[in-house]
Amino acid sequence: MTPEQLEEVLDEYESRLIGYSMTIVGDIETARDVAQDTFLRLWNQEQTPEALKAWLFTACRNRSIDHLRKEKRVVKMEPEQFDQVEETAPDPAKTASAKDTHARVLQFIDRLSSNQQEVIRLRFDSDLSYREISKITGLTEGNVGFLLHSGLKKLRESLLAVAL
Amino acid sequence: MINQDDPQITAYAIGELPGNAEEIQAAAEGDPVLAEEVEAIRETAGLLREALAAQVADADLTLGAERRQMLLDQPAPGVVTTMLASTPRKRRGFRMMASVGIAACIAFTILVVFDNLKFPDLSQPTGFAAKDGANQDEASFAVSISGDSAPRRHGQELGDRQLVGTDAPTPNRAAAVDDIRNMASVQGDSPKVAAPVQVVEAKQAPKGTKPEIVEQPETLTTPEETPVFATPIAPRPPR
Repeated sequence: MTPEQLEEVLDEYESRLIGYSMTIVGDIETARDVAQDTFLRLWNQEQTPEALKAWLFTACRNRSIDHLRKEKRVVKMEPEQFDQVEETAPDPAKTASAKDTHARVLQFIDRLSSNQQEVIRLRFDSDLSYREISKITGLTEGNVGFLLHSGLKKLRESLLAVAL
Repeated sequence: MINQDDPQITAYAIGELPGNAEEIQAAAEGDPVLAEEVEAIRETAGLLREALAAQVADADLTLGAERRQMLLDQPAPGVVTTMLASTPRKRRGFRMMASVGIAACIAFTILVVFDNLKFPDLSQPTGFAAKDGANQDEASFAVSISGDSAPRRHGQELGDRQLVGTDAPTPNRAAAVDDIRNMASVQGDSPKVAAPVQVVEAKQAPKGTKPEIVEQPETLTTPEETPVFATPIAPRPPR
């Protein structure tokens, strides 16, 4: 892989990998460390992996889990993130803007199980297929489908409950 | 029969076409409830994509200039491999040298200790009846081989006896003495050599005190008729 190719991969995947890692480690700085390490591993590969996208997410997932095991840390929210949630919380005085809706959706995603969050992010943020998600997570394609189905249904019910 | 709780509906709605996509499509078109479900799933999926994209845009989900530059400044993989490969080799060399050094030290120490034990310095009289560190409560017998004016420090325990400070506290000397006795008894001749071994009972040292130094009487053989076997062993020159 040439430095130019690495730069292209960085442009395309850095935010996705950081976002994905954040769902596992729960901390933006750690997620950046994990993503950096993932890119470093890619750079040190003798050959560029054929399924680059799946390889990146798998490596990122493994590194995130490794980090959790090493640190034995509880997923926690930083004070900045608390502030962020408060700022983006829906204001009854304002009309429901797209921003508020997004904030609600993100809040509801956080309430899902970790498995559901993971497959939803991989599917809708990283645009991975069931098969790719299955390879990355180690779940069967059937499990991936079920988790997505149940996760989406729960989200929809939560959004409907707020709208009412 | 496909219903709205079937995960295949979600798969179909979000574009993950399963093998029986045509069957699901037909079921959705023929059933208004299923068609509504598919539409609702697509709407939720659209909201999810927008929300996640907005999160990426709002939050700083980038590595940052410093990390990014560090990655781009990385040397080529071959260089990294060479560097990694060279490190253990250096460590192996250091470990080998350290091992050889330690082994040499141990060998030298053993050599010195054994040399002193095997060839004690007999030129320095000390006259202790009990060896250093011995239990002073126990009665001990000082066995002295005549032929020297003073007992030696390097004693050697033989059973419940202790040979103390002679010229030859070694088995060779004891064997020589035995030979002298044997010859005398075989020839039926009373040897003019005085009994080469004299057993002297040591005084029991009271608890907590040093053992009493026992002066051994000289019982040297008469010089004019010293048998060959009783030739005194010349003291080892000081080292």
